[in-house]
Amino acid sequence: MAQQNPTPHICFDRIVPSSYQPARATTHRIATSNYIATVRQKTARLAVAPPANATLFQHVRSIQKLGSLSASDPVAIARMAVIDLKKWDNGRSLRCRFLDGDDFQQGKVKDKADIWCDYANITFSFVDDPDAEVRISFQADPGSWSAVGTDCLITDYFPQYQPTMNFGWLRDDTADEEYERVVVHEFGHALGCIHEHQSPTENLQWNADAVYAAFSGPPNYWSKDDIDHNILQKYSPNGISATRFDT
Amino acid sequence: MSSIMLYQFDGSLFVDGKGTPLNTQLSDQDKQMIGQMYPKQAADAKTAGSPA
Repeated sequence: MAQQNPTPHICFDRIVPSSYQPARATTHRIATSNYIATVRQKTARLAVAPPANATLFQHVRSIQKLGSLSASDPVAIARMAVIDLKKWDNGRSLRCRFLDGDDFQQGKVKDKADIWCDYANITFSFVDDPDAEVRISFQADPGSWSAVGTDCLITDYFPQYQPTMNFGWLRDDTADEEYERVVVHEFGHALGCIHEHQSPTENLQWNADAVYAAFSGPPNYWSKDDIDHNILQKYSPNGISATRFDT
Repeated sequence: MSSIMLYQFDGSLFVDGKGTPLNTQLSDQDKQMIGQMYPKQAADAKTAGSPA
């Protein structure tokens, strides 16, 4: 591929951190209890004994703290568990609402999002409901990102007047191929998929110095902390020095 | 392996200099994976009233 730009626009998944404790939420009890029920249900499916209420979130936290694990198999199992925990019910219709954007932008997003529906038992309905599960902006910030799966329902993190998904660089003059690359990717997050890099089936080692140099400049302009979080730690189950990377 | 969930990273970012491929479309693996996460057959069976 004759790509000249060595540093592509990179998206990130906004996974709700393990420190989040839904039990403490007081203002959005329905969404929260739905989330807890989902977590319980998915946890029960994992061939792991369903943890008692008090230890449930300890369990969730422990499977999300993958950096400390060294053997590859437990990491793989835990990674899959994290994905499974955030899955929607099969056959569900997800309501999607545009918070902004013009007709061209919205039309492109609808077309590209629907590509998933040819292969997944999920439908997207684009509506104006204020409580739509997926809320889309083109101008929340310069980045492109999405909540992962049922994290969309956690209104402590994604209040209903705010987006769960942003397309910071898709404009009327953006190429169709770039729309497809970014929109399908972000809707993959919305369906519960995490970055492919996070599935530790193959080895690749980052050159950390080169990564810092590349992502601190255009078009991402990330700080060292951003780069650690968005690239090096996220895509390195065993830490920066002994990277496992899926390609 | 190719996947829409894998972004392109230039070879200069890696110790082995190989980089990752540019993925702009759903790959066959993506289609298979999402079909396992959200199977269409299970829904058909459910609506037809078949036992689980």
